[in-house]
Amino acid sequence: MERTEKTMQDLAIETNCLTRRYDGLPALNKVSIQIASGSRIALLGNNGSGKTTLLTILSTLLQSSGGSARILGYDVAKKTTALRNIIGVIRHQPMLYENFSPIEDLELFAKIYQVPDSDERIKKLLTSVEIWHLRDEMIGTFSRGQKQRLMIAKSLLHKPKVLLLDEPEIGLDQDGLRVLDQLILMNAEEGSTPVTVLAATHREERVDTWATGFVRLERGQIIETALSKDNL
Amino acid sequence: MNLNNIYELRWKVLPPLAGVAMIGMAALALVTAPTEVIEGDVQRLLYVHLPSALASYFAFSVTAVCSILFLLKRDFKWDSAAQGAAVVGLIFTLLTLITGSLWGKPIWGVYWQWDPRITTTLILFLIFSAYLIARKSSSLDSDKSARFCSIYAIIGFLDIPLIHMSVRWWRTLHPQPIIAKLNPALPDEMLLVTLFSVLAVILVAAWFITLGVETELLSQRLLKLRAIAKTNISEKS
Amino acid sequence: MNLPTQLQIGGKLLNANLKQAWRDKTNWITAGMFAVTALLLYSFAFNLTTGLVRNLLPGVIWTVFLFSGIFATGQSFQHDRQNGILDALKISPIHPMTIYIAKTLANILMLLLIEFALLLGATILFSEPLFTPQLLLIVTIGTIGYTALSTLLSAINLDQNNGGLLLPVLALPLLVPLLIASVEATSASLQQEAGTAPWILLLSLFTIWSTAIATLMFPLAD
Repeated sequence: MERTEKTMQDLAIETNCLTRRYDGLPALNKVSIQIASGSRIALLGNNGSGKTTLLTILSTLLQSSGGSARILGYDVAKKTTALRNIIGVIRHQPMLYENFSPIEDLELFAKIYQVPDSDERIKKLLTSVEIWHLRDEMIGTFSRGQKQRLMIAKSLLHKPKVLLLDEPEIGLDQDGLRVLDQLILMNAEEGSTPVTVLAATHREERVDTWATGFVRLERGQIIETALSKDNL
Repeated sequence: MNLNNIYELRWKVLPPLAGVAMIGMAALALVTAPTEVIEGDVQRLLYVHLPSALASYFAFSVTAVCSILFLLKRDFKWDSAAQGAAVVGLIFTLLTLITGSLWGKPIWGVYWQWDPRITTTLILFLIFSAYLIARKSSSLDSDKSARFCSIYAIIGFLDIPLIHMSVRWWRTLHPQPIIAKLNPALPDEMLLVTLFSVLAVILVAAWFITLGVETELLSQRLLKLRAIAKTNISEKS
Repeated sequence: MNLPTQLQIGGKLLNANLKQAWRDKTNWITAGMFAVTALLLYSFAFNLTTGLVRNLLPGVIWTVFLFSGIFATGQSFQHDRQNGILDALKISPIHPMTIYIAKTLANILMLLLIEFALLLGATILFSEPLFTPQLLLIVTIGTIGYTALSTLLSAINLDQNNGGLLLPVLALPLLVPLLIASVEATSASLQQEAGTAPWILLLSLFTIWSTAIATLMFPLAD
């Protein structure tokens, strides 16, 4: 695996022969990628290709069976506080308190992430995802699309530098997709350093509109990549 | 410590040594050791009962140590070793309980007595049975299961002295009418035979542990080979 | 992240757990109902209406507490797992020990609520002085002890096929010392004997041991 001239700092996400086995079978098989800061990479592949496994390991929720991974220089296996402060995650399943309102849920996590001016930030995010009018309703009553919008807001709460998204388009209607594009897929957070996005998706027809590159997996291995804009 | 060294021990050193020791023990226990005055020949079960108990503690210590090593090094070999040793531990615990019952019936008139040691042995059996059930109910390479069960084995092992103490205090409050000591003061000859038996049984236990460990390691390898075979078949079809 | 911050966040998480427990009362109400039903069952099974009550009651109470308590703690992480909240917390900068302590404390508080209510009911049913400060202390210490251990064991979901039965099988053998000490302490307290203090001491020691070990082990389970 040839290393380019990218330095550690330029690399937002870097994996080296990352492997993960279930029941002996490799869900990820020696996957090595380098993703530069500020890129927006689409993670493509059929069901079972390893996209979710890769994202889960990068989110520090799963241990690899071999190899290593780094996000902005931090070793994912060490799960340091510094690392966890800079990643934002959306998974298949919404990670929400069903018995809380959006305000209650986001307030708790704003405290956990020690977000400054949390009230303002929460209002801004809930307004951007267009569920401010639902701010006091129980999350358990939301539709899938509404929960997904809330997850988008929650993932951005602490202004992460790297976003790891597993099929963020699930449940979203046209308006929802617009919100997703505006907030994440097509824009970095205004004013701050460029946000790196790695998003698994089945909606390949949309990839051209937002991605600066892609990685295609099949059976846990990379079969195609284009990690710079020139190749797209 | 290289687990491969265990293979050497298993075939070349331990079996002959253990075999000779067991023959010696049988001879000593059945023939040479004097007959106990009060209890008669049944007392000779001591030479199996006590060493079995010690062998089970030995095996479970191995499980606990291997569990600690697994948590530190995250190498699945230690998880396999812990399971292999646990199986052996359960075998010897069962042997302890059975020989205890067989001994108890003619002497006390009952198969069971709530003596602290026997009761603790029973609880020990339950704890490590639960350990194996929990571990085996998940896939062999599940790191979640291995981690959890390692923690459980360590806690369980550390809990044993506490269990023993509390049962002993409980028994002093609720003594049963039949009081019999399991290990009265032994005359020298019996003590020697006992010590030799302990040595012999521990050798056998050590051998069984190596066998158990290797079985688990092979199961892990089988898992990987099956997976590779499955991948090859699906690729060709 | 420094300790004061962790404590503050832990407090917020504890509040959140309690709020959650209150809003989704079903789990806890079921545990309470199970405890009451079991108590009634024991009353019939052991004929607790006669004078033997004092001897049997401590054992009955503690077996009821343990079974319903372990069941309830088993369910508590299950909800968090199912709605993805456990993952959200694991991804966040909060220390795993804080997650564990906040969850355990919430469980303890809910269980104490159920247990005190049960003791009050049992006082009326059996005409025994079960609602004394000393007894409440014993119940509190014992509950901390067994909740700490069973919360740790419930933190990892291994229980796919056993319908929740694996957790008591794992937890109860480990809790034998606690059961013995609690029952003896309760019995001594009920009979107003002088021997209560040593049992309370033993119970406290076991509780401290199990809490310490469970707290230390939780990050490893991550």
